[in-house]
Amino acid sequence: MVLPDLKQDLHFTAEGFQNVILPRPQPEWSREFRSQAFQTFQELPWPNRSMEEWRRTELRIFRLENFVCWAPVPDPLPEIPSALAPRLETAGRIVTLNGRKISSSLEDDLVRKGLVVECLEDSLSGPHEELIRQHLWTLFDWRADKFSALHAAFWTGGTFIYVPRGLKVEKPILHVAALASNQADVGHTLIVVDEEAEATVVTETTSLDPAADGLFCGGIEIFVRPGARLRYVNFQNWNQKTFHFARQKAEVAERAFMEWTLGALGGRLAKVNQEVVLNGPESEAIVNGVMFAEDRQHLAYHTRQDHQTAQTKSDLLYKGALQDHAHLVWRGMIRVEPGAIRSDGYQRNDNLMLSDTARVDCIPGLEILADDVRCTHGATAGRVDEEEIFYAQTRGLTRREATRLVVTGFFQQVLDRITIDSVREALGDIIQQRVREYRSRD
Amino acid sequence: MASKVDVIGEINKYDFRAEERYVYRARKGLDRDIVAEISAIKNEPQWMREFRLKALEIFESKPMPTWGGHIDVNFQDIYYYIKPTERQGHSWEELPEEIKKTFDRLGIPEAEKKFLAGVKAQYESEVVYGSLREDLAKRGVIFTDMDTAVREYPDLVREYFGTVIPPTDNKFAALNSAVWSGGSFIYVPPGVHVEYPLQAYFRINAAQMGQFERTLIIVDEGASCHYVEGCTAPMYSSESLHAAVVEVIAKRGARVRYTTIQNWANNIYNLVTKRAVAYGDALVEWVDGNLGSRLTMKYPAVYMVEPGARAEILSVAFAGKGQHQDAGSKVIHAAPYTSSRIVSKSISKAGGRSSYRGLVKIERGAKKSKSNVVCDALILDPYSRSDTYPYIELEEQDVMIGHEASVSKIGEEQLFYLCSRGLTESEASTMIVAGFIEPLVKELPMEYAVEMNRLIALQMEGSVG
Repeated sequence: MVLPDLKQDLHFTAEGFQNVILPRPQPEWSREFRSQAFQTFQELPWPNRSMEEWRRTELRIFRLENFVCWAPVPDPLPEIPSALAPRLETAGRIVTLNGRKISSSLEDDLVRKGLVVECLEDSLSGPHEELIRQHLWTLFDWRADKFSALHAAFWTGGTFIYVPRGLKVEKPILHVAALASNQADVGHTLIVVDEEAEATVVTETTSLDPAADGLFCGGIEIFVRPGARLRYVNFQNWNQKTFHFARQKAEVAERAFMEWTLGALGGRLAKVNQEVVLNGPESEAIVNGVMFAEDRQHLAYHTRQDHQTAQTKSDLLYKGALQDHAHLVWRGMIRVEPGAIRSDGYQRNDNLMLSDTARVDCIPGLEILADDVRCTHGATAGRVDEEEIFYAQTRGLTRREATRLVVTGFFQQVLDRITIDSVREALGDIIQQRVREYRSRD
Repeated sequence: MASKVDVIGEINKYDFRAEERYVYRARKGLDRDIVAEISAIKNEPQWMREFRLKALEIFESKPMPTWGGHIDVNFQDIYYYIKPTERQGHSWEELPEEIKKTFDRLGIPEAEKKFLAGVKAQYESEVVYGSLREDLAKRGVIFTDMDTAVREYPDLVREYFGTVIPPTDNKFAALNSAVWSGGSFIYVPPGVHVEYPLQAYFRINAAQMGQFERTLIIVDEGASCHYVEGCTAPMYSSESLHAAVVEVIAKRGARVRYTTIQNWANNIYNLVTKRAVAYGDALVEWVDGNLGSRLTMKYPAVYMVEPGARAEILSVAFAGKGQHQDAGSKVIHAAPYTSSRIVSKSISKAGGRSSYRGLVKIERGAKKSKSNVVCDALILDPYSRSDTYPYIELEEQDVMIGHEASVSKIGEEQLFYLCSRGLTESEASTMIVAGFIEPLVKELPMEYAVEMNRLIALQMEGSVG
């Protein structure tokens, strides 16, 4: 591969696009698409607070010029920290640094059966080019805003997972995405689980340096084909200096099932759109969200459950806890399209406020254009119940222990819905470590 | 259950028009001259004239809202001011014949005799009739139209007018501030309880007419009152605009209930700003029924600014053919120990769209605040739509907030049960819908509850579950 000249402009600019992105080896259709996306990127304005979607998110602290779209891979390779890697017994693994693959492994038996866990960019010109071309960018709305267009134009590396028809992969496939100091990850993830296949995919994001800046501007597209089953975990555990902009969307076909668990723990500022489209009778999606924010973190998650056809089911539960000056935003929508009768949609968002200075905005939503449906949502917010703390203290716990217990209990409801033991335990542990004693003035 | 004949009678009850007669009508359109002219006709003080002109500038500078419903109004094709009579009557006999007949047909004089403490009737731009029971007047209660209040109670008006809803609040509040005419002014002195409802009735008769009444209610410490308003208009082929501003001030320990049954014709844009400020331990209740209009955008609000203030909002919306009810509520908890309860019920039918749009905001420091929101929606056929957009913003941890919403259709089992008891499907649906909105209806004075049930039966006519 021709490496870019480090003396040239490598920023997310027209020069960077010319110097780094276009010369990369890729099929012509990819180059054309990138050029189109780059033009859109240049035309779109930066999001600002007069836009409803961005009204609650202050972008002024973010500077795109602080980041470059290409950096050499460090030599020797650093050790990649991971909370899940030591705990999971996996069928295959892929590790990326700044979006680019640095290692991967897969059980031989599964390789023979056609399972693919690879770098997406490398796969563009490979044997799966046609499959990728049919799916890539069909779910991801790259015109949605400037970040989406930036991602579509500048993406590099990424991950491609293909589970062939009928293949049932018992053990999880783990993707660890690490970010080096002051670097950007613009990787794209494409997952196709073909008809009647089954798999579990776990993505963990992590930062090499807990105190260095970072940028993730990415996208995830997931296809769960008819009769397939996918359990997908997106465990976002960046450091608290990382900017995180992402659009994640899954399409669940008839008789297919998806369990999607999302942990939102890291990030200085996160703005994520998570969408699941139910596109066929008897399709079902369960969405679990665990959010924990502290210090000055701002985490904004916008979810959408889109019922396109009749007899579809979705069930979303997001739970958030916040302390210090953190700000959580959850905005959800259940959309039932005309004709999508006998749809069953549920969404719930509970928030636990652990400090006086935290702030939470929760905005559930329903848009129902069919009559024979059952759609419900609920939202709550409150603080740790002093009576529960008192009760635990009478049983000999310290205040800190009691608080941890209450917060753990708060999350238990959503943790219980996660069917992968190691992920459930890891999330629980990390949350416990994060709960510090908070002062109450009562 | 209303029979077929009754139902036709009901339609006629509102959809009739009197001959358009007026003693003065400003030309169509909106500009500084029209605004100055309205002010001059009313012989207003300088400050009000300046307030109007400033508001016009604000209106012109603000863009049309891009959310909510689709508003298709040509602001230059509307009559902003029509004066129907020379003077206000204090007995119905004093009114011109067709106006008297109009209110007779609407049943206002009869209701007044039976159960009202005072009545204001507005026809086009002016309040044409006013009454208040003598004993209340003696105890210092003021119930008059807004124009008279500007002249006779200048100090009170100047102190409060535009303080709850400034013209800068939104485009239609600015429009109202520029061209307002009519509306009610109520002042209840400390400790006085007005036991019977005070009622206002708003009628638009003329085509292409805009009605912009302005209501200001001040309930002093420990006092209470219940204000009821009804709105109707005949059906014309062109659109009309109703953009009211309602400001309510509930002082310490006061109780105010504001009930609206809105049944505008289906070609009226009903864009209303209603807001109350509740001081310590005061209770403000909005009871809001939206049945008519092409598009309603109305979100009655309560700002709770001192400890112990409470807000209760009950809202029912029925969106039939060609209608969009974008209704909801706003509660701002700006002090500790404040509480709010919101119940919204909406029904969509025959391609109608009903949306609940609400905001619960807890400001920093509003400790021990509680808010509970429940939204239920019924969709009666596959062509209709129901939306729920509740916003919850919290800056305080020591609070209890709950929100729940559900959307469903009428249960097959309920229908089956009622049909097995001999009701037709249409009758059964109507009965189920009546049960669905029961929480609102039972809060209405008896006569209104009966009326509300009739209106629902009317809307339900011909529907099959």
